[in-house]
Amino acid sequence: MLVEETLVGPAVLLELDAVHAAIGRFFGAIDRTTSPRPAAETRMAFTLGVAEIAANIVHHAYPPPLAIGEFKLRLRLYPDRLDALLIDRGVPFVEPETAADSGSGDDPERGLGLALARRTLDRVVYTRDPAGVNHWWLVKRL
Amino acid sequence: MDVTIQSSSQGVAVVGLVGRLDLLSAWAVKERLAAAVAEGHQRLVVDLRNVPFMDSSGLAALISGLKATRLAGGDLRVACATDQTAMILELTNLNRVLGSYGTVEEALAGF
Repeated sequence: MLVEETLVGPAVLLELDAVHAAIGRFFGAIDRTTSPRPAAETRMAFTLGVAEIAANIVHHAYPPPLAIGEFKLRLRLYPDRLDALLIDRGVPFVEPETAADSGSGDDPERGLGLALARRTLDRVVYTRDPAGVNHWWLVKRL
Repeated sequence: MDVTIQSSSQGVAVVGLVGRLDLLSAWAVKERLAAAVAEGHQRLVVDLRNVPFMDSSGLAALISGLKATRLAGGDLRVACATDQTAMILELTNLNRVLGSYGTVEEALAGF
């Protein structure tokens, strides 16, 4: 592991600003310390994937009447990949039944973000451990 | 996110967005686009030159605006997409649906 950036914050909308700031610090550290640098297209794809999953957590992990909890973000650069881990203790993720482009239901864009993350990243792996912790592991190969 | 709406000489409203178009700002943009249509602007050009990042919620706001304009007999075009917004529009093929133009002037031409 060559570079690491972490963030812990409440799963609220405004925290998305902190997510983008953390991604900015991550790429800033990469630019200062490593060579070759990830291509612009790789950065955009990774940023979109991480932001979509973070938005999904903020939007869905702690529905009322559940108290708002925290989520954690860890970004890492390895020699062969950009790697992100997002963790929360909210409700289990349930794959939307409605196709992202169906336009039906009261939340038609539900599922589009995850579809975009899967399209732009090389790996999007969701697991929920026995302690009730949600893990999202994201990989973009260099 | 800052949203400005200006009527052009051709009677089309140009919607300027400044900032990230994401879950945080999408609802407000969706409301502003709907309000513009309700005020009589059935044809909208959304200027993306100052939008460095757009996510699926931002896309949904644009699609909502597109539906509103078409229901009113008009249309919505986007102009000046940045590298990131162009990427997400192409990934979803929405650049074809929305009509993505290099400049606002090109989007206004023949609209």
